[in-house]
This record gives sequence, structure tokens and C-alpha cells, in this order.
Amino acid sequence: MSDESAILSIRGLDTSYGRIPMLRDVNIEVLRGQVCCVLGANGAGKTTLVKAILNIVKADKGSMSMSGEDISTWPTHRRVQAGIALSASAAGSFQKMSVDTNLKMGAYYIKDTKLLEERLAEIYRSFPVLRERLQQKAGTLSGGERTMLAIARAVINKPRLLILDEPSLGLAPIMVEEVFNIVKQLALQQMSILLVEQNAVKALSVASTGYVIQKGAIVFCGSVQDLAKSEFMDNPVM
Amino acid sequence: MEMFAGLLVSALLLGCTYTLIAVGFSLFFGVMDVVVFCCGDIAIFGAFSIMGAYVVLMSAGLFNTLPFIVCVALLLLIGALFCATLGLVAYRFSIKPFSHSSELMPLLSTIALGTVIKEVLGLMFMPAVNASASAFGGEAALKVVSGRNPQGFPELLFPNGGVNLRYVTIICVTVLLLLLLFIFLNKTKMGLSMQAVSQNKELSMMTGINVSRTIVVTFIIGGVMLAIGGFLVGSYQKIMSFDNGAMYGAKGFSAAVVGGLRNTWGAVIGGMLLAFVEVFVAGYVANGAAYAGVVAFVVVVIFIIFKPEGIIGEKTVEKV
Ligand SMILES: Nc1ncnc2c1ncn2[C@@H]1O[C@H](COP(=O)(O)OP(=O)(O)O)[C@@H](O)[C@H]1O
Ligand SMILES: [Mg+2]
Repeated sequence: MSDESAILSIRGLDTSYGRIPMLRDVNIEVLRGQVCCVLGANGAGKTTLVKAILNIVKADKGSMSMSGEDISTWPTHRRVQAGIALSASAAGSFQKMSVDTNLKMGAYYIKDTKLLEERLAEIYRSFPVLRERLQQKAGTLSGGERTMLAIARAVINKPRLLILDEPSLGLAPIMVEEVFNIVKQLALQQMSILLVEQNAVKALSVASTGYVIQKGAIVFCGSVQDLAKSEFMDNPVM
Repeated sequence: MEMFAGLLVSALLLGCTYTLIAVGFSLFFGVMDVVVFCCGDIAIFGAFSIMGAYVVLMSAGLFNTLPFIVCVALLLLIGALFCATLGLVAYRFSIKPFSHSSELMPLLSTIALGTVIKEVLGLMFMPAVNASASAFGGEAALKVVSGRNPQGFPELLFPNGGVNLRYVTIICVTVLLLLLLFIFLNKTKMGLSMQAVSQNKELSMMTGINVSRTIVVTFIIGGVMLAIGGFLVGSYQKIMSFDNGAMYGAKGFSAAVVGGLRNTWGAVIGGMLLAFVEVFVAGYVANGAAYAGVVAFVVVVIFIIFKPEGIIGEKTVEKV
């Protein structure tokens, strides 16, 4: 039933760190043009999940397909090339490179220089903070600026699937607001997004479907309306 | 004044020989976070393969038929090929298998590989060269006596042009090579990938950089740098011994540490600094030659204590 409306579908995914099992039988479906969120507490396995989607963490079991095409055996760079972009602010930046070069590294697979210039111009329109810091070394950016850079670095590819790993991590409330405004903008442009968050309230405000992950297993899957009414929301910041 | 000028030139030349080996250390450390301790041995292996190839080319009579400069280019190419292969061997067999175990393992295994390279040179150089020389030329034009004896390095840089021209060439070759490396690292996609992998491996993966291919290319390029480094060492010293690798490895490593292990330009400055300290201590301090090496290593220790990030290494701590 890997239907065409799912941009990404994960079936029966297991991963482990050494001999310690981490993800167990994870099934997730991200629909085209929608925002799907995965909520979970610290250490639940969210980052492990997004790394497994890019094959940075290897799957022990299970399969993955993108728009119906099986990608289970593809190496990381091929998955990125096919249009999966991951923005993880916790992964940091290329510290000694300028903001400009960081963005160009993000656009690794855009060969056409004219297209690249256009995309950069677009990015600087949507992220004015970055335009002001073009030549600044990424290692000297503030937390909020670095999150913006991490998102911009992924968005510059106009990915078929954008994965955001905890974009609100470590940010002041006003910056969280700003980051989620950007996510809303991207959602309005019909970008398919997998949003991984601890901040449930914020995530539910942009997503249409939601999952909850606990100790490496999916314990809830459904619409955000159902999720909002569920017992998982008793503690809205997971 | 004349003495000062002479020392200046010596220091520059010695610095050139250290620099390229230090650059090898820093390139490898950048992508693998491992000190590849056999860099010196790889460079000496490069010098020996050039010496060996020289004997073979002589026996084959190529030096009489081809223009001299073409023969030299051919020899450099052979040296580069040998060292690039050796770089790949080092990566594939003594670093990659241990990349998930403790940091000490690849360190020890590259030291072991260095010993293997050294002993292979000592034992196999003579039979290998003589056999291929007679295979190519019927009878060897020059016979290599023993790989364990010091070998005379052939005069390949303007043999009729006198010593000054040779020195100028050594400096020019170094500068040219570093310039090429600079352009490669900053202007090509592969070069930028190498820097990216060095700065943040996980993010490089997320960005879609083919990290394993980048590492392989780094070892090839590092191998070529070491080959040219070995060639310059040979051209400068004129006499080479199969066990010179440890000494040049230690100097190259020290230079890379002084420069900040990850920083290629630091490695250049570190190499020069080390050479200048050695040469000027030997020149100006009474009986200085005996202390030169020690003083140079004291400089290294001072750097490790007071500026562990290296001369131009900047401290960038990323808060999350
Ligand atoms: N490289 C690793 N090796 C071993 N254990 C790891 C590794 N990375 C993460 N873990 C462990 O896996 C669990 C889940 O981590 P992670 O996926 O980062 O959680 P989350 O992103 O939900 O906070 C944690 O207990 C963490 O300690
Ligand atoms: Mg996480």
C-alpha cells in the first residue's frame, strides 16, 4: 500500500547502537504537501529516527520508500540528492566557513551556477538575518542565527521532503516564534515537512498529522486534532 | 651578514622539506581525526621509489632518448603514484578498520605500518630495483648494492646549473605546490568537501557530501604531497637512508602541531618555524648543532602547553 500520496513511508524500522536496540518497529508516513510531526521527550529516539531516514544510522530491519520508490539500500548522499533535506541545529555548522559558503555547501548538488545565485537570493530574502552576516564565520553566529542557517541550508535545495530536527532547541521564546513562522511559510508553499519536536504546542500548531515516540517506539499515530485530545498532551512540553 | 643570508637560505630549504610532510599530517588528521604516524615513512618511500625508478629508466636508456625534463616529470609521476597508493593502503588497512574502536588503535597501527614500510625499503629495495632494471634494460646501468646502505639521491634539479639554481627550484616547487593545494581546497567542490568533512563530519553527511569518497581522495592527494616532499628531501640532502622516515615524520608532526593540527596553513608556518629555530640555533649558538633538534622540540612543547590550538588555529566552541 505504498501509495503515491506518501512522499516518505517507513515500515517496520529497527535500529540499534551497538547491541542496544533503539528504534523498534517504527512505521511513519509523511503525506505530500503536508506537515507531519513526531513528538517525543529527550532521548526518545527522534534524532536517531531522522538519521535513519538518511541512512546515517543504519537500519537493522524495515524498509523505506520515497514516492513509492524503495530507497532502503541507498547511501546517504544519494538520498540527499533525491531530495531529502535534513536541518538539525544540534548538528552545528561548518564553523570556519562563512555563512555564504555554508549555504553553498547545503546546495551541494545544484550544479547550475545561475540557479544557485537565484536560490541564494531567495534565501536572503526569506532570511534577512543571514544576509547581514554573509561573510561572517558560522562559528561566531548566535543560537538563533545558527538555527536560521541550519534551516536555510536545507531549504535552499527546495527539497521534496524537508526534515526539521528540533528547530526550537535552545532558543528564546521570541526566536521560537520566528522559527515557527518560517515553518508556517514553508507549509503554505506546500512543502512536505517532517517536523521533529519536543515542543508539542508549537508543533501541533503547524502540523496536520502527528506521531508520538517513546523509548524508540511509536505510541500514537493520528490527526493533530486527536493528538491534541489525547493523554500525551497532559504534559505539552514532552 | 653573509652568514645570516646563508642560514636564511638553509632554513627556508629545510622548512620546505618539513612543510610538505606537515601538510600531509594535517590533511589526514582533518578528515579522519587520526594522527597518521607513518607520513614520514611514506615520504621516504616516495623518495626511494624515485631513486629506484631512476635506475630503471637509466637501464632502459630512456634518459638518452627522452628530454631530461620529461624523464624528471616521469619520475615524479611514478613517485606520486607509489605514495598515493601507499596513502590508500594506509587508509584502507591501518586506519579504516579501526575507525570505530579506541583512538589509540589507528595510532598504533599507523606506527606499525611505518615500520613495515621502512623494513620493506631496507629489504626489498635492492632486489626489486635490480630485477626491474635488468628486466627493462637487459643489464642494469647502475647496480643498487643494499637497501640498508645510504643511497645517493640522483641530481634531477638542474644538474648542470649549480647549487643555487637547485635551491631556488626547491623553494619554487614548494610554493607552487602549496598554491595549487590552496586553490584546490578553496575553489573546487572536492576541496571544499575536504574542509567540510574536517570541520563537521556528521553535518557533511547530512549535506549529502560523499564522505567516504572525500576521505579516499584526501589520502590520494596527501600521498602525492608526501611524494613531492620526499623528493625535495632527497634533492636537498642528496643522501637518503631507508630509516629516515621516523625523523622526518617526527619533524612533520611537530610542525603540524605547532600550526594547529587541522590547519593546512598552520602546517606551513609550523614547518618554517621549526626549520628556522633549528638552523639558527645551530648557526649562532656555540656547539649549537648538538642542541638544534632539542631546542626545536622545546618550541613544540611550549606550543602544546600555551597554544594547543596552534599558531593560527582559532578556538571556536559551538554552543548548542
Ligand atoms: N551514537 C550513539 N551511540 C550510542 N547511543 C546513542 C548514540 N546516539 C544516541 N544514543 C542514545 O540513543 C538514545 C536516543 O537518542 P536520540 O535519538 O538523540 O534522542 P532524541 O533526539 O529523541 O533526544 C539516547 O538514549 C542516546 O543516549
Ligand atoms: Mg535529538
